[in-house]
Amino acid sequence: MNTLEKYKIPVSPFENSEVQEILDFADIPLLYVEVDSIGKLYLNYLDRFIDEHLEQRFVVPISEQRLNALKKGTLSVGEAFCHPETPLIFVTHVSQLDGDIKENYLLPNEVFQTFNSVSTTYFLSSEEEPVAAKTNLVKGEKLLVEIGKFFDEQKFLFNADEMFMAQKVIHLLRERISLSGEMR
Amino acid sequence: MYQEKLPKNCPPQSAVENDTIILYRIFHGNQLDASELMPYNRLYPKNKRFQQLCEAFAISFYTDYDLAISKYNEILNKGKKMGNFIAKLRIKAKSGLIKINNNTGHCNFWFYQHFDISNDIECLEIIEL
Repeated sequence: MNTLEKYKIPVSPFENSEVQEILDFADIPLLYVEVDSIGKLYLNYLDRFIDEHLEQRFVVPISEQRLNALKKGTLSVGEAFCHPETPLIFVTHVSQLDGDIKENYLLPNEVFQTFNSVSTTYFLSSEEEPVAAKTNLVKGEKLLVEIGKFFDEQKFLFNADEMFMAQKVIHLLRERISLSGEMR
Repeated sequence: MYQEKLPKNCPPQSAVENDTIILYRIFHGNQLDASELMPYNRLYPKNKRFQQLCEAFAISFYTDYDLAISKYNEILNKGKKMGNFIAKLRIKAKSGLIKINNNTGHCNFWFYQHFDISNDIECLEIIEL
């Protein structure tokens, strides 16, 4: 029995999971994000093919914050697997032909690290989809409206100088958002 | 409009219509025909995990020979041979939309419906891997 077999689990936590986004694709999906039935995110990496159409993949739970860092290129994919956010890591055997997960393994981090093949120099592109950037601008505008309302409603908490400063900052941020929107 | 019936929001907004462009493609046979330009969703139609993902409807190319070979070797080390040949191709302008990853040189290409491999691609060189 090889080491991995000891960690086989009889249930499939990814039975109803869906691939949400492919992060690295080169004729085959090398790295993607999947989401399980309760909305938890996982980073899924192709380790190797153990048979012609059978993939061995590493799967770690990942927070949105970490995922953003990964997409921005401030965190390497290797780091995400070297220092996972949970002490247990999944290894799955997935058929390329039908997408079925044939085996699931759950490994303690220290055991997983003996299998870990992800390079710490593996970074994603820092190119952000314009649609996502635009969404962030809209979010920023909405947030400024809320902050403006807050200052109006809670005037008694601030003196005149503080109110003036706050309005100046809000005005500056609005200008920047507007300028950034025009540049896209 | 495209060769494939694409999922929603595909191609992404960041994809652009191609000008005449030289790209590299790794392929299996010694002749580049339509069977060598099959996207993942058609190669593995029963793989339900990727039937709604835009990248699975694209064809992979590379902007640079060395970057293509680097990816070929990376995937070879994972136990998969992406192909036996690499072709240097000139692709006619307005063949489809492309999205190039400037870090890796990888390029996703979503071909328009009118794209015709025999008219719109010129094979400049083929090298055996």
